[in-house]
Amino acid sequence: MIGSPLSPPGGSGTIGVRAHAGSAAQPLNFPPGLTIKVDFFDEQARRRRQTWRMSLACFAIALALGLAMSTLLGPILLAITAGALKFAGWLGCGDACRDAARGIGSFARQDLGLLADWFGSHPRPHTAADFVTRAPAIAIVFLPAMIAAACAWLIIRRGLARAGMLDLITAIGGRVPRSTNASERQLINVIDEMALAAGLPSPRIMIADSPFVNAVAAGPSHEAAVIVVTRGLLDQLDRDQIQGVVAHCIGGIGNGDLGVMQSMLATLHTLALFHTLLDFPFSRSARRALAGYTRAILAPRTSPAKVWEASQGIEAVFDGTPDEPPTLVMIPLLPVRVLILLQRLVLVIWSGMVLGWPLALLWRARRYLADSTAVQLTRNPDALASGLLQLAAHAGVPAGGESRDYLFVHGTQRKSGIFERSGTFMSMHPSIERRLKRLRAMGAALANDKPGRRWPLPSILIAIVFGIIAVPLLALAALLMLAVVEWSMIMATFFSLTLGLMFLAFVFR
Amino acid sequence: MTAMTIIVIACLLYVLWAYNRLVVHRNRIRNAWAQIDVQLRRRSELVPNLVACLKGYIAHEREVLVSIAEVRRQTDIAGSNVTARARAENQLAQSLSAVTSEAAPQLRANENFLALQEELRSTENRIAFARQHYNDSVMRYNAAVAGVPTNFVARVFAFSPAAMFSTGGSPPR
Repeated sequence: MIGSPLSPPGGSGTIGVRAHAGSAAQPLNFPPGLTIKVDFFDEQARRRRQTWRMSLACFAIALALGLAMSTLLGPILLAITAGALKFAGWLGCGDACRDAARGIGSFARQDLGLLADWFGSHPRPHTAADFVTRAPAIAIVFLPAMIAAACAWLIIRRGLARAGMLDLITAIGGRVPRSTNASERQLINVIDEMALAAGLPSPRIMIADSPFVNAVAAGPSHEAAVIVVTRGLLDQLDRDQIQGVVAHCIGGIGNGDLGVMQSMLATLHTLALFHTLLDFPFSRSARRALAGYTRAILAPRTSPAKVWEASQGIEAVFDGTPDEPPTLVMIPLLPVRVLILLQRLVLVIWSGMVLGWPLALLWRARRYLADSTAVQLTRNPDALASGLLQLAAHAGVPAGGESRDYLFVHGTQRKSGIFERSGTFMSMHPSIERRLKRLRAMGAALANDKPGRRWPLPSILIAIVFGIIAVPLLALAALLMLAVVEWSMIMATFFSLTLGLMFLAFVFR
Repeated sequence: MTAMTIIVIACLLYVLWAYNRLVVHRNRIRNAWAQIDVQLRRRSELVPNLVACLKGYIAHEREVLVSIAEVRRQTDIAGSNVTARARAENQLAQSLSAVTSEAAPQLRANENFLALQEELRSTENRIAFARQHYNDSVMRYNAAVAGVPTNFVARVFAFSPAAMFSTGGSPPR
């Protein structure tokens, strides 16, 4: 310790050599005419705000989806609890159980009466007081499944965090760098430098022997992160460029992107889990997937590979694969089956068409945020900008990592893995041009260089005419699509509500 | 009455939160400051390796090596006397970079020397990045100390603004 931390005396300023903490080589010399339009701290603040907006949108949509799904699950859960209590009471587990069961029963009956009143009565309730008095009746349908979903989300997120996607390293063939090799030694140095600049503990470093130029960060948390770099990256990029790309990874780790991705995956997995749960009585693959997933997530010593395998099983819900034909025993349950299929339709449509957008935008905001953090860490926007150009020139994801393309610094496919399966239309990565544009605004000198293309007049006219015709048509199509989605959502909710009520009425006869 | 209670509790919670935030920031600054020292030590430890590698390769070998050893001894003597330490560290950095840049051509092809050069470069970078991290941390901490609601909490618990690690001498730009 040199002196008190809060008052480094003036003389201490001369420690060290370089006044400018640039990436080693030279201080930034701005070419004339180039100005910094955006300060990287401002850019970070902007991307953080965007993250909040998108998270909120995701939360609202997931909540809506959860409400729709809980109309079916809620009554079932309630009935199962009451039934279990009743059974326990019948076995002689004391009066407490029996009383509890009776309590649930009478509560449900009373509120069911209210609810039936609400749905059946004409005219419908209009005043706010009406809604308040009937709130418990609505809550009893929604709450059990919503609480179960929230708990499931927390448990799944914890399980995914512990696994930390570490199986990705073996999947793409990562190995420990050799410190005798000059360029790998350099990589270790560069990563340590960037960890120092970010104030993070040095992450574990792995190298994948792949000709593609890419890098990826994984791990349970920022304290136990791993960075995997392809051999191609070491061969193609110079020291500064490597530093820029590594700074993107470290910046993402420091900003908590690992946790963001775990939350996003946990949201999709919770939806998938609940659908698999509904499929439970009907399909053997659902039973197997459910059992495998529960085991993998709850296991005291999680094996990342097992969690990944089990997730694949549960994500199959999104694929819409044909189910097994109903057996004779299941015929009385066919209406339930139809309902579940309807709900699954809603799930697939909503998770892809509605939830997919904010999820993808959220992850994109995190990529921009990591880019601006990389500029903060290196104080050299050119490093990342020219590195990204190299990444785009040798674009590719090492074999074995294709389905988790979204984790890499530069994604090559438009979408991948679970996000593709759940039907997200948007790519999880911003395009390289947009990223370069932002970097240029933060002061990157290079890649300025495509002059704006001038469109010839005829194409402008054609575009205008096309726009006049196509835009209203597209808007109409979008509206129709939205209407269909809304309708299917409402219908599924309504059907499942009715069925759930019938079920409850039957149990508490 | 209940409204008053709620407001008082909310204020107390806010003070708690703000205090904890300031403490976290201050600890970050302390840690960042310690890191700079760690990195300076690392550079000092590289010197014997460099000297061993340079033997027999540079002109006026004896004087140069002796002067480097002397400067290094001074950094050790200076210890935590900031002004003396700063001067010594600066001299050390200058003579190291002078030696490596004047190295003979046959030395440039030497693998050991190249590895050592990379280590030296990385060490200089580490020092620079550690200082940058220190300054970034100070900036965040000072913003928290001076920002409007937090500054009351900061004043009550005597959090004073920290000084940036400004560079002495002429700026590079």
